[in-house]
Amino acid sequence: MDATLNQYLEQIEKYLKPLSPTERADIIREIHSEMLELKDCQGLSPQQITARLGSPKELASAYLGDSITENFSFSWNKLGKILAFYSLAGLGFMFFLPCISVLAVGLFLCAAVTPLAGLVNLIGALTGFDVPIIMFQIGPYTPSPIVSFPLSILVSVVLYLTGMGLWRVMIKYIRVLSARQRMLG
Amino acid sequence: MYIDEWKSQIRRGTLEFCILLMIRTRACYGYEIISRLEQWPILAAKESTIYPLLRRLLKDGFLSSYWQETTEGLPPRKYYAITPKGQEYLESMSCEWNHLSDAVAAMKGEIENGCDPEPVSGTD
Repeated sequence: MDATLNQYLEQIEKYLKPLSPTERADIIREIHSEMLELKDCQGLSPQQITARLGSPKELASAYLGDSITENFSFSWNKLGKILAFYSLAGLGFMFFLPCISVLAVGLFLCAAVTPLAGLVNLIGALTGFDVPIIMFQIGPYTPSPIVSFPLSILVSVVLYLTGMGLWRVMIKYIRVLSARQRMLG
Repeated sequence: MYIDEWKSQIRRGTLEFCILLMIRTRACYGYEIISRLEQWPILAAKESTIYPLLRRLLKDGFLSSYWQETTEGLPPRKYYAITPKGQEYLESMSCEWNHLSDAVAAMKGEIENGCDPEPVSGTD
């Protein structure tokens, strides 16, 4: 197998790291198969083959984009894919995606921490300990620790839903990006 | 150019339909699908469009796949075949396509008969 083509496959394999090993291996195998088809049955040169397939970055990006936008679920693995995707997506989009993904993750973390803080405050109040660093305050209104706890759960839900909403917006944005990439390609 | 954007949208909307139509009679492999689509310029699409699309149809259960180690020094090929779920999906798309086709034909018929419609600004 030609050096140019092997190098191409190695590069794609690198860009596809965020995918599972089985998925990655199957994709490489299929691209390899087409390369052989183009070389042996169509008589194309390695240069013509790589020109036809596009740069390894673009091709990997197409696979990643599709993998990300299958569904709206959140997972750390998916976040990894998204980071890989927009590092390939180019400068124009390098601001919006990082901002939104960081914001969404931040909201999830806050959503997780808030009820815990409320719980600590509640336990403090019930056992007579004053926990000065944890406070629930809306403007001039400071509810008692007993009331704060359900309120903190409410806030947590709101934060979580907002985070989810932002996450979905981001996925939709990536879909548009992928479609546009395909059109320009 | 506006027409290119429109063509691209049309293609995006019909590619799945066309691929399933192709696969319904017999299993095909990736390059074969790309080559056959190329026969119609409006449907021509690159590997970076077709392969991820095939993978998605596979994951959604509309297609099944198998690797065939062909003989005579030909490369091994990944074949895609249609599943019963894919067949159902294809039939639904076929139905909707007919509705669309009828609607367009009707509107074109109206225009050719010199009936009514308000001229759209900026076109000719």
